[in-house]
Amino acid sequence: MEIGLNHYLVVGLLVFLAGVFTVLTRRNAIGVLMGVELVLNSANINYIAFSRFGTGGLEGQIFSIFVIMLAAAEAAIGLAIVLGIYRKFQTIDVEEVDSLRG
Amino acid sequence: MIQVPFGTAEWQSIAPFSLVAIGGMIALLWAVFAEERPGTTSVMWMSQAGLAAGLVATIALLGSEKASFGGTFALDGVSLLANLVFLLSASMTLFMAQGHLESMGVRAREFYPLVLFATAGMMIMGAARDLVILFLGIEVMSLAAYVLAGIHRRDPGSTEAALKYFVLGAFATCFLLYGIAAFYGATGATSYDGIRAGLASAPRAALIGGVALLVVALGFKAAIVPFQAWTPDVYQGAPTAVTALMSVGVKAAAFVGITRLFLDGLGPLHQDWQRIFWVLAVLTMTVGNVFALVQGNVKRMLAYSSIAHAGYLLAGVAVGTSRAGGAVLLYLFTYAFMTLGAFGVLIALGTGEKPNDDLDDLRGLADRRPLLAGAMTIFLLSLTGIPPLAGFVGKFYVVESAVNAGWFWLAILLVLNSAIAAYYYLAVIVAMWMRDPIGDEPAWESRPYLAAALLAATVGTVLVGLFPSGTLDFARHAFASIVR
Amino acid sequence: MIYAALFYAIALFTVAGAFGVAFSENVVYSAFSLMATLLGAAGLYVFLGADFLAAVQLLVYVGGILVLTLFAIMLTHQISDVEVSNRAVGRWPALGLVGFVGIAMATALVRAPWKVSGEVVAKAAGEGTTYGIGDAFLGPFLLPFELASIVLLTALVGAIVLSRKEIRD
Repeated sequence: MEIGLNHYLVVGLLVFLAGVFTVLTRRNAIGVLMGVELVLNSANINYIAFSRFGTGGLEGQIFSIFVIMLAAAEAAIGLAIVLGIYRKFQTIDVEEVDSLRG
Repeated sequence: MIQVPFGTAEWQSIAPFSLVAIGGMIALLWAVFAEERPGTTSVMWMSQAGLAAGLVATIALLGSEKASFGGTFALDGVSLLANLVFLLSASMTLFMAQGHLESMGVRAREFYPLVLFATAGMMIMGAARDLVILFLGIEVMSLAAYVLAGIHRRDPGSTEAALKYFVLGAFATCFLLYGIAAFYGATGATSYDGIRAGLASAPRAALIGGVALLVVALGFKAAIVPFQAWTPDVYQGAPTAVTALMSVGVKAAAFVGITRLFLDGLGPLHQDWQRIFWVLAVLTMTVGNVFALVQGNVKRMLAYSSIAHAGYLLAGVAVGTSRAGGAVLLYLFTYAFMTLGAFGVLIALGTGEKPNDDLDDLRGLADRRPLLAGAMTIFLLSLTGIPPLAGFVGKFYVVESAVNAGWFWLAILLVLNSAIAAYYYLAVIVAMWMRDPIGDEPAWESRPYLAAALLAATVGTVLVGLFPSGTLDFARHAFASIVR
Repeated sequence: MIYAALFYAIALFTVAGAFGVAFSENVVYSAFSLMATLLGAAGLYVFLGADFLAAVQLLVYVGGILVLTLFAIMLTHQISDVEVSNRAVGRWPALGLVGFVGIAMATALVRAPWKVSGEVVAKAAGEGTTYGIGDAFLGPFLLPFELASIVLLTALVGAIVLSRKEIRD
């Protein structure tokens, strides 16, 4: 069987599911961030696969450059926040950080 | 062979947000190089000048209707009216923050430029007619908002708010990108025109999945149930001026983005998304109101109340006619004044040591500070929807458009929900006017900028309530060309 | 044949890395599994004819983001006392939810009649995609390209505001 669009989409889907699972189950804030990176990568695989097999143009590749750009920006902000949390609470367990309750 | 599509329409359409962003950059440099002593206000005024430049551009362009960048960026009534809401809320936020941040000990001058960047992001979202541009607008706004939520670094609550907002916001972005991928794969395009053209021949399963993913992603930004879990904690933990910006500007931008995306780009799929939005609207207003009933902290109560208002707004989106679109835009206008005002009063109550935003802290406020209590009463009555204040006309035209389109149940549920909401808004008014104060009078500071912002919010709440027709006609007319 | 075998090897590497991130108990192992996924994704990009993207993936993701993540782990975590932390959502409910979504999406993906056109990215022999991408950034994608710079500026300012030494009176 020739390697086609579906092969890439399935790889993307599996990475997406692993990412969502990571975000849902991790309590370590950096772990959650890594789950987010997985999902961003899976979106990129989809974009580039659609771009290659679908329209045949470069748009998909360009979208994924924007996604990589965003991932870098988010990582910078996210890790700055995580370090701030660590300084304040001495933990980055997202469930132990809950001083705000109604 | 590089062809840059850049003409008058392009310059005009990017002028409002570019001026705000450039204003932010100038204010940023000013903040770095100018010697800033506590109490000086030059960075605030530089930032206000940036917002004013955006405002001038917006007003000068009112009435023009142009497509630019191949139809991916709009210059029309909707984007311009939305710009007014964003600029207004940003400007009031800056005035309200002056002195408020100082008394909390926040020295970061970058607060003001970051508010400008967030505003530029909102303006991009309001004009985006391409999913990639919408995504970039959302990110400019959100990244700035995460930082603003955590700008009070000595306060654990503020840092915690930033973490929660960031984690859930980043997760929402993932859904947004996956949704965009679904539409790109299904229709081969990301621009709203391209998506509309490709819808007919696109695989249906991918479209449904794409709609679901985009609803989740934008629902997070707009704080729609069941994606609202972060709202109370983040709104309560963030400095109150930032909360005001998040509950007005960020929410308004999310709604303008949702309205344009679904009414315009995904208009042909309305039978699919209208049902989703109907259910989510009813859920959102009910959950928001029921939880608001049991809050003892006024700031948290206002957070739940803002969720309820998102439900009313979503009801307008679900109706989906151009009348309803106009009503949503008018609602955002009225909501901006009264919500900013209510949060402004909470800022006025706070001192350096204590926020004083529990219901008990507001007891007997009418005796101690009658003007402040009077303003709060006007904002709360308006939020309840008492005529002739702004909140009433906002709700009235959403209900009217729902009835007009035959959505009677939605209209009835909306009115019933407003009745529930009256209970918790009136409880605050009763506490202010009829109860005796507890404890000693806090050492309140006088803050002239905040007083001016509150005065402007009061005047706006009354005036928009008395004379809504101009704005409404403009908004309806703006949507007439979008809803096809 | 070799082509297919190589694809499956890289795909397996990518997915295995992703599951490693999801299931490993130690966040450091997760980070190294993430590296496997990132490298694998870069390999897939090469298969898809996206040479520039593969290079960007290596430079920005592996060289930048992953290193940043590892730094943050080192700064916030004593490597020696690794503990098995409780979960935000129980593993089984999360697995159920993810499995359900996965089956629904997989069905939709495989069954959907995606538009597949025969034509492939037009490029002269020996010429990569770099030229086309650069061209697009200054042409049809000019506005997104400029907006991306505002995103990066905001992130830059924000990260500095949050992590620099606090200014006191």
